[in-house]
Amino acid sequence: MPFVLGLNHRTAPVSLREKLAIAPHFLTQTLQRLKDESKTEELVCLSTCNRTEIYVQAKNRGFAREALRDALESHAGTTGLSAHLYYHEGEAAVQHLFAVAAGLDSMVQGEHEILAQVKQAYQAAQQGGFTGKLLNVLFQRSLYVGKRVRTETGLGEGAASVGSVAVGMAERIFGSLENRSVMILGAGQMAEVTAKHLLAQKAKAVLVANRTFERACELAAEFGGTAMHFEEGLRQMAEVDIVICSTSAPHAVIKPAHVRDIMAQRRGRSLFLIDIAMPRDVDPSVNDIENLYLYNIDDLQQIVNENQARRSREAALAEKIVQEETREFTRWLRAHRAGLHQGLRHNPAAPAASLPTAE
Amino acid sequence: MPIKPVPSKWLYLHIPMLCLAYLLLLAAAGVGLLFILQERRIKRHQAVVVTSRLPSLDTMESFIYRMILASFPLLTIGILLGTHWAYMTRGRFWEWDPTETFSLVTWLIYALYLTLRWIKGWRGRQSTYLALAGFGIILVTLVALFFFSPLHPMGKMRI
Repeated sequence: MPFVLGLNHRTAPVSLREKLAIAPHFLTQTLQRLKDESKTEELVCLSTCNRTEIYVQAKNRGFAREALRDALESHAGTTGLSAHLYYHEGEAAVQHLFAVAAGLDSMVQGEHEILAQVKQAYQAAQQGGFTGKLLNVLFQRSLYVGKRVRTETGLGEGAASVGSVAVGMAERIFGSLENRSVMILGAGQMAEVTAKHLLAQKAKAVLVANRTFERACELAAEFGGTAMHFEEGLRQMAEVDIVICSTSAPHAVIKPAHVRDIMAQRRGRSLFLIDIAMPRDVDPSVNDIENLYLYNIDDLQQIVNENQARRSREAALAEKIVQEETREFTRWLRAHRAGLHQGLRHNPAAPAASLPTAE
Repeated sequence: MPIKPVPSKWLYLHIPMLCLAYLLLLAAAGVGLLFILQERRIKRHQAVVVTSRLPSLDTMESFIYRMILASFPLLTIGILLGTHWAYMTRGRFWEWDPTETFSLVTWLIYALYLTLRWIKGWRGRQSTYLALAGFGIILVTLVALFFFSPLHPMGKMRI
């Protein structure tokens, strides 16, 4: 029966996790030391910035567990690690690995990086000769489960913050944001955050227009953009693709007539207006203008909420797959221990009767 | 009306050219429908947009434009060959039979699409509706071609 001993972002602070992070070029060496000290048959070490876990197959589980904990403590150079460590064995260990590979245990649920990390951890251990039949099958299976969750669920899909929804919408309008230009009108805090999201997608040429020119300069300097006076910014709206409005004006400063003028100059090119000011900067009827897409803070927040609901539905679906696959693997494990040679089914939900049960 | 043999082989290009033009315009109309759907979702702030796998509005829009741009010369030459064919066989360029009429309307709609786009910068929803209308007329043309057109007797044609 396999077991796992480790810690992750939920059980341990970053100050502890970083002490236990094992660099890839030290991995083989570390595995060898752990193997020697704990007298285990098979082991795989998964170490990322959010977790360090050791998956083990050992005859003497009790001894191996103690020895590994001591080894981890000496590696971290601290004692009292036990409070942060979790230990699962048998079915629970299998389920844990499958959940990790599926991205369910990640800090950002559904991220894809972890699957590659599981694969690398396994390959390193396998090439070093640290794995045997059991962990080979287990880890290959976990890669399959990770892929299955990725293709069958939308885990992690759908932006989860106002800034990332704004980016998502911009991409649905313009495609790649490379070479798309952004203007910040009124330099509020939220504008800065949203602009950062857009610039992370390679949007360029930030123009910052603000009533207080000094603040515009500050923000422009931060983004490597151009500062200008507020009125100039209103005129320049014809030249950019995305406008983030966050002035502190008490009433709408962008009126339909002005935007119609701007759109006429744009010759049909789409304009994405993000109004995150409160009270709103843009007259809501501006959204009726052709080729113009206006989102205010509530529209964006509404989408964030719907995405969160969707994410938790998808997470439930992913968990169901993980449980299903865990049961299937446990079935294989029992048969394997009993000396039977059974295959692992690719769709465990299918009726068991249709399967070849060997010997 | 008796139909005389066609005097010159290249006049047959009338048919494949128009077929090809219609195929390109079919592609434009198909993407056009998706564009209208997605544009409406974005305009109405629907969350489903974020997870949708449709291409961006820009991508779809320029695809529609390119399809229409590519089909337009084919459409033009195809119709001109048709008038020449009519002249060769019947001595008249244009007789306002239903297929001819609807083809002309089709041509005018796509000509309008391109003109408005070039001159007035018409893009997006409105011009896509124009592209869809154009394809609607093509469907009417095809119905006319097979059922109501004395000069284009597709139903009786032997190849």
